[in-house]
Amino acid sequence: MAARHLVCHTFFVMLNCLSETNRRAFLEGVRAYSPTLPAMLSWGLVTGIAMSKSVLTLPQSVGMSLLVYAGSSQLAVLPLLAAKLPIWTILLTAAMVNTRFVIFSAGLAPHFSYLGFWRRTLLGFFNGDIIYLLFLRRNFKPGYEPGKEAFFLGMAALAWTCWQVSSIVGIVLASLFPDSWGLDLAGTLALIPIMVSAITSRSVVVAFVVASVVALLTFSLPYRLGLPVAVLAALIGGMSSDALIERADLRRIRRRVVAEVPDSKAEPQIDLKADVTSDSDTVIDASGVSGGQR
Amino acid sequence: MSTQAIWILIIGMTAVTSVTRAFFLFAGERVNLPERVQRALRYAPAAALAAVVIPDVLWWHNQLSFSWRNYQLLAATAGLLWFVWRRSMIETIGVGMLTFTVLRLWA
Repeated sequence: MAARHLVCHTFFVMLNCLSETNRRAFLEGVRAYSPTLPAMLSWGLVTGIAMSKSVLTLPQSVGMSLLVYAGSSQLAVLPLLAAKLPIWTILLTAAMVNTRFVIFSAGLAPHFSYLGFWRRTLLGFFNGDIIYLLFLRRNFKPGYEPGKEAFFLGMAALAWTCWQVSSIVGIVLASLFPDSWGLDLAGTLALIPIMVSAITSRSVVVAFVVASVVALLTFSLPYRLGLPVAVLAALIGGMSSDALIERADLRRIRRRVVAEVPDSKAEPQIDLKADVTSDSDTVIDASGVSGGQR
Repeated sequence: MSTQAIWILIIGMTAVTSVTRAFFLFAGERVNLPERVQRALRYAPAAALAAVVIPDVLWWHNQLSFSWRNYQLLAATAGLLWFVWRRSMIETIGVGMLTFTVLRLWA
C-alpha cells in the first residue's frame, strides 16, 4: 500500500515537472494507448508463460522480458533455443522478425530529428507496432510540435509498464500449470496473427510461401542453417515478384498509351494514376492465402 | 545451451532490438537505404516468422508430420482459421489451446 502510494506520488511529481502542454499531451498519450490494453496484457501474459515453459530459467525469463522488450522475437527464438541452435542463427532470426521496426523508425525519424542523439535513441527503444500506428493516426507535422514527444512518451510509458507487469505475472504463474498442458504452444499460436497481419501484398505472399517451403526442405541441415537460407530465398523471391509485377504494370501502361495514341487529347496521367491504384490492388486479403498454404 | 550462453544471447537480442527499433532515429539523415532495400525489408518479418512457426508446428514426436494425428498442426490450423474469421489475437490463442486440449484428452 505504502509502495503504491509512493509510486503514485513519484508519478505525479514527475508529471508536475512537465509543462502544462506536455503534461496534457503525456496523459493524452496514455489515454490514446489504453483501448489496446486487453490485447497487450494477454499478449504479455502468453509470452511470459511461453518463456517460463521453455528452456529459460526464471531469472533468464525476467531478464529477457525487461531487456529485450520485443514479444514476437522473444517468442520466435524459443523453439530455436530448444533446438540448441548456435547464437548467431538465433540473433539473425530475431533481427529478421524485427526488421519491421526499421521501417517504422524511418517513419518516426522526420518527427524527432530536432532532438539530440540520446533522446532519439530513447524514443526508438519504445517504437513498436501499436505505438507507431497510433502515432501516425494523429497526423503530426514533421519537425518540432509542442507536446508531440510527450504524447509519444505517454503511450510508451503505459505500453512498457503493462507489458512488463503482464509478462512477469505470466512467468510466475506458469509454474502453476503442468507441462503436459502444452502451454508453450500458446506462444506459437500468438505468432499466427502477427504472421498473417504481416502479409500485406502479393510479393509478401510469394516471400511467405518461399520461406515456408525452403524452411521445410532444409529442415534437416545442421544448426538449422535452413532458417537463414529460407529467409534469404524469401527475400529474393519477394524482390523478383516485385520486379515481375512492376514490369507487368509498365507493359500494361505502355499498351494503354499506344492504344490511345490516335486520340491526341489522351492524357497519360490517367494511366499513371491507374498504376498507383493498382498498387493497392496488390494488398489482397490474407485469408485466402495462408489458408491454402498448409 | 549453457546459462552463460543464454545470457549472452539475451544481451545480443537486446542490442539487436534496440538497433532495429531506433535504426533511422539514430542514423539520422546520414544513412539512406535505397528504395529496393527498404522494400525487401518488408518481406523479412513474414518470411522469418514462417520459417520459425511452420516447422515448429509440424515438428511432432521428433519428426515432421503433416498427419491428422499431429494435434499441434490441428490446433494451429483451427487458430489460423479463427483469426482469419474474427481477427482477434486473444480468441486465436484460446481456440488453438482449446482444440489442442480437447484432442489431447479425448482423441
